[in-house]
Amino acid sequence: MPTEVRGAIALRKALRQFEPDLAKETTKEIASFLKPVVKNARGFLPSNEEVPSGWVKRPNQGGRWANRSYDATEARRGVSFKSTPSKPNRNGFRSLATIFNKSAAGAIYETAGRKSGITGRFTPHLGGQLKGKGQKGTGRVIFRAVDEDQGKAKAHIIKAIEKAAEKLNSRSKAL
Amino acid sequence: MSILINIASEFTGKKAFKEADNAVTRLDKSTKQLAKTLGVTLSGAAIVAYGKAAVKAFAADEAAAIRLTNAVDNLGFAFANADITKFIANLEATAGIADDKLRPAFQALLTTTKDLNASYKLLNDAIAISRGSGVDLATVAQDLSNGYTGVTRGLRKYNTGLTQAELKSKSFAEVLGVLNSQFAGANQAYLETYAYKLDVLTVASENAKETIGAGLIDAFARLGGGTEVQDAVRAIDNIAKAVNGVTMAVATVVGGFVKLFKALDYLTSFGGLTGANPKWANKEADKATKSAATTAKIQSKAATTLTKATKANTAELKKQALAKKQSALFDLDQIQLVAALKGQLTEEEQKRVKLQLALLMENESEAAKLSREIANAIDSTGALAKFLTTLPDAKNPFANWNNYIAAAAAVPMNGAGLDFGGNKIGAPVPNFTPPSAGTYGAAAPVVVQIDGKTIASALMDQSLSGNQAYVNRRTGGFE
Repeated sequence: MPTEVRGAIALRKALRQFEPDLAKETTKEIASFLKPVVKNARGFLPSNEEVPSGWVKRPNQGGRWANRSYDATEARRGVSFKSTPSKPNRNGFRSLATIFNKSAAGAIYETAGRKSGITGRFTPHLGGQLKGKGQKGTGRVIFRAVDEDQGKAKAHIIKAIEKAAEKLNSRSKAL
Repeated sequence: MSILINIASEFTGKKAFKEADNAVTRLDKSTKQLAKTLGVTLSGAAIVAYGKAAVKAFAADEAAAIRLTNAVDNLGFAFANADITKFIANLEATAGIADDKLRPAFQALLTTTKDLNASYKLLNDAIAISRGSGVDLATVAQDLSNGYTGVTRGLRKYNTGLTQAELKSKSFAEVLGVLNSQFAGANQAYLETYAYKLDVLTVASENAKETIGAGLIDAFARLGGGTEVQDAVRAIDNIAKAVNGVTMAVATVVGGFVKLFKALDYLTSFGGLTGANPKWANKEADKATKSAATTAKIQSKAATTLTKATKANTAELKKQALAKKQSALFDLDQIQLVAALKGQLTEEEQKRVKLQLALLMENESEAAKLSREIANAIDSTGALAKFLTTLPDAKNPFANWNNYIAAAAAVPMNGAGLDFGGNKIGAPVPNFTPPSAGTYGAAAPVVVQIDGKTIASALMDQSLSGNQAYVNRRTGGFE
């Protein structure tokens, strides 16, 4: 899913500087492509009844697992997208758009068993399907949604960027 | 910890890369600023490029000049070569057009018209038409040459207003007149423009390049071990490879070339480091010389110190010897002995006193001599010495000791036993009084007899007041 492009960040910078309305329009367009994927991903999260009962969040829960217990609402809230450029990560990459699964429980549900396999007493009871490419590109929520999307959102986003670049160039030539 | 899917990501570089990039940019800026401050306009690579270009420019110029000369010669105007060269040079300076453009144009006109004066005039006209129409000089000159021969096709581009039929029907002079009137004043107007001034500077720069190139060809060719342009170019390349990062100011006059040529020696010897008299070798030699000189100085100093010390020691020893001699004058023992010598002593006594004095003075040789004399005096005949040497070995007093012990063992312990002066073994010894042997230091008579004859007798004591002959109790010697 991760795609490397060149100049997208610079383009956005130029858009914001010279064509702010076009920049907004592009951002909205990118968001429109990501929304269905995120909606789909949220649907893959189980309800509180579907997960192992010991993992469900209880009121006044203390200890290490207080922040790691599952709550469907919280997990769903943690799955979202960002259509603005991110900060550079440790490897020097910045992305124009991101889909993320922010909550701890959501991350546990996303990644449980993708390395060690569906074994033990917890992972086999989670349900869901691990989909995606490679170990780090596999998951039950966002990776599954992106995999089932089959790259359509990615293609649309890149097209939107190209369209924005063309518009910017044509407008500056017209000047 | 959130799980991310990045879409349309871009490598913008790690922080380290950014910092490095910034550093490089800053370095580049400061290098340029430095170059500007120093008045250096070209880098080492640019110097090399300029040198090559200069060499090539000169070569091209020379080739063009030779071509024109040949053409002029072939046309029978060899006598006018000097004038043509002068004309071209003047035109170059006034019109601001490089001679490498003027020469081909003039050659084209001359070969067509075969008339020097007509060629001069047509060249001037061509310059005016070129300036007025914007067409380059070579094309204009060619068109005029063609028009001179009746080919008027090229003249259409100048928009004279004449039809093709008119161009063909009119004479060349008439067409030229139309062109001149059309572009009259263009040349003059151009001379007042900034572009003209730039042209003049360019021409000057190109000429300088050719001048430099002429000298560089000789200079670099010599360095390259040859005489041709290729040798010069090769030499420039080699020098450029050897010297990395050298920046030099490039002059645009021959004087600058001279400076450059002088720098070549410096460059080829890597800043004087190599060559017949390398700097580094001289430095090392100087160092070694200095070191040797320092060592020699130290050694000399040490030798001087040693000599001084030896002299001082010798003087001290002499002093000590003298002091000892002088101190001997106050030695009481010696004084007494000396006084004794002055007294009424026999010859033998004198010898003995002298012996003692010699022993006190630590005069070994004298002491030995006197001892021999005294011993000889005591035994003047030598018989005693002979007798002493021929004495038989003394009997072993313990020879029958084993028999005594055996006899003692055979005697029963109880009853009558061995008697030692009335005391029997086993009986308590009453009042045993050892025989008296005299006390140490007490005087006792000593009589020496041989064959019943007394040969010597003396009163033996421990002081020096009696006779001096005594028996050495420890060693058993007789002195």
